[in-house]
Amino acid sequence: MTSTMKPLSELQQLFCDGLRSSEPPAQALLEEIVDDGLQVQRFNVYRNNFIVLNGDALADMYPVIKQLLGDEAFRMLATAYVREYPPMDRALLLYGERFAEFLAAVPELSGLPYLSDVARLEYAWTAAYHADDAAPLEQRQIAKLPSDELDHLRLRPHPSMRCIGSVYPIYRIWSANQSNRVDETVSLDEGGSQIVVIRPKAEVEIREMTPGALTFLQRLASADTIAEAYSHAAETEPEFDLNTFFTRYLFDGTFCAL
Amino acid sequence: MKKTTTSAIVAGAITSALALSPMSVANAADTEKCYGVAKAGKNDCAAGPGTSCAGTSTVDAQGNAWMLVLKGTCEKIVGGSLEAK
Repeated sequence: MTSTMKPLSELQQLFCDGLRSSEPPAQALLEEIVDDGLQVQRFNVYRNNFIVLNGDALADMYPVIKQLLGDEAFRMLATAYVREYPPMDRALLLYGERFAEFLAAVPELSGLPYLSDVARLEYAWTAAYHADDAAPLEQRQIAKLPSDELDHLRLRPHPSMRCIGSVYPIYRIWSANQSNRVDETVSLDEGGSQIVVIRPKAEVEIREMTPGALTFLQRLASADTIAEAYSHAAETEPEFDLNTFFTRYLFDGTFCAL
Repeated sequence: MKKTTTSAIVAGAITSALALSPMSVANAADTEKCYGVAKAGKNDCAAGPGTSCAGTSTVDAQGNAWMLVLKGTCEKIVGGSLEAK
């Protein structure tokens, strides 16, 4: 029993530091816990739950990474991640936002350079799943606009949309790992992928795009007009065909109502 | 000149999209999100193993965190060069 109470903020900091450490709890922290002879064990139970539960949330977010690395290696990495980037939010729905960045910095994983991009894809999937809904752009909204104004139009992509470009075939790696029966071999020499993750309606869609189409969507997402985005897309990919693109995507929910 | 060309390309593409894209039909069954079915999130307070002392059966591996034991499907990903970026 201590005579002076620590301020709450100090106590919370001490507790958080204790949770993130792999060392036995600090004396200063133990002094704040009721001394029944079991306070170290009780703290360790709490800490272990903290590490394991957040690691479980990470495993839910990154099933393909877990499958690629195996359970044991994933658990070790998850533990290190939880210690370095503990949750900052009460809900764990989107926990693990920095896992891609974290994986890229682990020297032991440098032989698997595609991991980080696969992690970005998995995060985008869940982020798209939980993103806001939006009413789709409809024919009648566009039909009433004068045709000489169309190129100045700024289309707003659906709030769930995430664009991912990678020099590795991450779409193939991701899809080869969607089932438990992974007998498929993927060669990194297949080249890169340009992916759009989007949830126009109820289902999250993962679309492989051409380089021009990815550029086009990225530019529209950063508020370019259609004409501006189109010139960038044509620079990235001279064969980029706006007719084909719009026929397929203009009114399928990829874009929000004006 | 280039501006006119771009305008024409954009207007043409939108006109053909108006003519060719399937009419967007709001379909209730199609827009209903199945909360909690696909990838349910986890909260600290979720019931189940881990919320009680049951979670302590999964003890995290301390000390040897970097002796990674890769036993996953990454061995199925072949080729490529580490210098590739």
